Amino acid sequence: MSLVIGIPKALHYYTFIPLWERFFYELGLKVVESGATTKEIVDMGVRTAVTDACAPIKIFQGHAEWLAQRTDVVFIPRMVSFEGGYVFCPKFLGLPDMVRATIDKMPPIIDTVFDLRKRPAALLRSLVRLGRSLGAGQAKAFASAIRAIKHFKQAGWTGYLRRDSKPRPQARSSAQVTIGVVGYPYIVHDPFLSCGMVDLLESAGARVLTVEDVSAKQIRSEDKSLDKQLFWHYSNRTLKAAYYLMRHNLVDGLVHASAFSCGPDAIVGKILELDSKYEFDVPFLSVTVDEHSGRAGIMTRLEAFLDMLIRKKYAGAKQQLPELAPDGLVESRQGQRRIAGASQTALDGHDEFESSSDAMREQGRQVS
Amino acid sequence: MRITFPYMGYYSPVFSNLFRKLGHDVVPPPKPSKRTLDLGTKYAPEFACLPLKILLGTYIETLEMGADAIVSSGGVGPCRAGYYTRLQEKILRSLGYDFTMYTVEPPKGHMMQLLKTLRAFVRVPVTKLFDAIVTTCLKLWYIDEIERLCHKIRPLEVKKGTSTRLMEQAVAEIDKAESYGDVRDVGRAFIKKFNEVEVEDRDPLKVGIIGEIYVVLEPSANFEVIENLNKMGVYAHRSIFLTDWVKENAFLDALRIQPEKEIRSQAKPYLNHAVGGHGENTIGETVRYAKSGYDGVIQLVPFTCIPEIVARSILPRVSRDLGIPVMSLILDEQTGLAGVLTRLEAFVDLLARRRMQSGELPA
Ligand code: SF4
Repeated sequence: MSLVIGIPKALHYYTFIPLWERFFYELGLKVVESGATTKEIVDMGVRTAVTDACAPIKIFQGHAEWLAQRTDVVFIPRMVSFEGGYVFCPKFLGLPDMVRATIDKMPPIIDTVFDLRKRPAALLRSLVRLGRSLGAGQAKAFASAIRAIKHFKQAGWTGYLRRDSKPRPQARSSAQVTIGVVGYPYIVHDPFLSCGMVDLLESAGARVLTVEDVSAKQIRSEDKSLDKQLFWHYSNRTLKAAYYLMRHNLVDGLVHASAFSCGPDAIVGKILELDSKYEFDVPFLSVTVDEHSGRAGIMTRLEAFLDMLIRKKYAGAKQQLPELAPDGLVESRQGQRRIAGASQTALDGHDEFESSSDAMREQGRQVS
Repeated sequence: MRITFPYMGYYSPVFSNLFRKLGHDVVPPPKPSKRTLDLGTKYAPEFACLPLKILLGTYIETLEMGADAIVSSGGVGPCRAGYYTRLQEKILRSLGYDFTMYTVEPPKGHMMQLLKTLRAFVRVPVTKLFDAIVTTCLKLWYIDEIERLCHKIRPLEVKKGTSTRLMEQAVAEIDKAESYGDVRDVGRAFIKKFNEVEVEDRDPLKVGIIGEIYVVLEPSANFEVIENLNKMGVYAHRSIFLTDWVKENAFLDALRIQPEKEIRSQAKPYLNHAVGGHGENTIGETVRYAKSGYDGVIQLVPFTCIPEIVARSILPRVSRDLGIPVMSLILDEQTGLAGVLTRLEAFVDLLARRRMQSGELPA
């Protein structure tokens, strides 16, 4: 009987899953993922994690415990550093230890260290070692690692994002306003944690760009805008992607989605707040989520923000769209939300709208 | 240039003196007060940790008093403290203050930058500089030595208040001493005085103090935890002293001598990787305290401090395995003295009861 490996669907899962999945597949091992975050999983996490841990950590613990009852081993790699010498948030560094110390009936944890600061081949080495520890021969482990790395490269490397909820609506004709929703992938793309922020904005007719829509090269082009780089992997990506979106005029507004009591985000958020205002003059909204944040409150704030952006954009495009009063538009937009899913139709009728956002869409395409 | 720097307990006057010797005007930072914290809380991000807020508040106060240069430490992560000066600079500028920020980066990997920073504000000949630094180091060393003694003697003193008064005198005198020899004489004299303080003959409860460095070192950031424990007749051992920390982190690291990594191996079974700040030490020290017969451990955690949260998640297991009670005190702008005292008393009670059960006489 072969080993069943559990992979928690939280934290680094969102960007690294193609690598892990492919590797275990090549080794011929069975993988079980913990699936979407549910109330049950959150409750488990809240019970075991310390109260002042951030929501993503609590949720991770929930996923890990969910797997504990269903798999032989749980894969919780110790992600130390992957790119550019940046390390992950210290909570990632201590993750396997935290899980081990707080969850009682944990099966063995595979806590392979991934620290690519020391030498570039460390990824390969770590994978091979992992493969061998799972009983594969040197040759097999090596070949699997090579194939997995290649696959990960094709999939998009650290910019990869699994969009398994549903394909992102292209929102071609309904896009009036483009909003950058920046934040860590395990917050923004976990619909439970982010209260479905991205979907919400999209179904309200906005076009959404996230950190994952900005390419690695574009992110790197912002290296020079910081005289001292942030220390953390995801924080650097978030901050620089946001800079890129603002600098190149790709968004009408910026939403920073961050977790309650997140350490690195205290810094990222403040920098974004100040720079969006003083340097880029882009409207900015900070949304803090936690494991029991109410959907309603977040929805109201996002709607108000969107309305403001629409009004602002409208004010500039008055000549082109004389017959549409801003308030009327807001009305119709809210009307549509109630019939979710059909949101695009009404706006599609407004050809004038399309023309006004053409230029923007053009720019947007370069990003996505 | 009118220099200011973060306030840090008894060390502050020594630093003021050093900068004066280097040829600068100094705006000595005032002891952090309610106003300091209020200012910091108002302008810092909500989830910044207490040390950042206190420092930001301190800078605003000193800039108002006419300082135009701030000297503070940097770092290489992963603890946030290494990025503080950048963020604080951004915030202070957005408030309209004009000043220069000097970040002293750790020598490792930043040697050039460190030298550049030093060059920018050293205005005296090298010999004088050397002299000033050596004297300062000696002062810091004596202050640490004497404070250690104070923590030991205060819980047992017969005449209450003697040690605190002696400690304050010692700091004032050491601060005044000019030359290397003077500092040494004053230091020795006070060590002698401390050893002559009349003490009760009993074995007090022993508590180890661990946690994030700023809140451990700065009494006004931790509600004078040590003094308060001492007043309850409990010996509190502080795990961090500035001189030890600088020795390990700056000098030895720069010279590539690996300081004794014993603490790391102590933490090993529970925490297998450095998590920045004092996270690893917190675990390692707890193991060490448990093994050397301490009655309990108190962890000082600034709210949202990442390394300490990692440690805090793991501590309950250490505590269970080694049978040593651990209490975490989470500190933020909403923490109140009354609450802290109540929790300290309850903890001390618990420790006393445990001692009684184990057959020894309670302290
Ligand atoms: S980066 Fe923030 S949200 Fe992510 S694990 Fe660290 S503290 Fe939590």
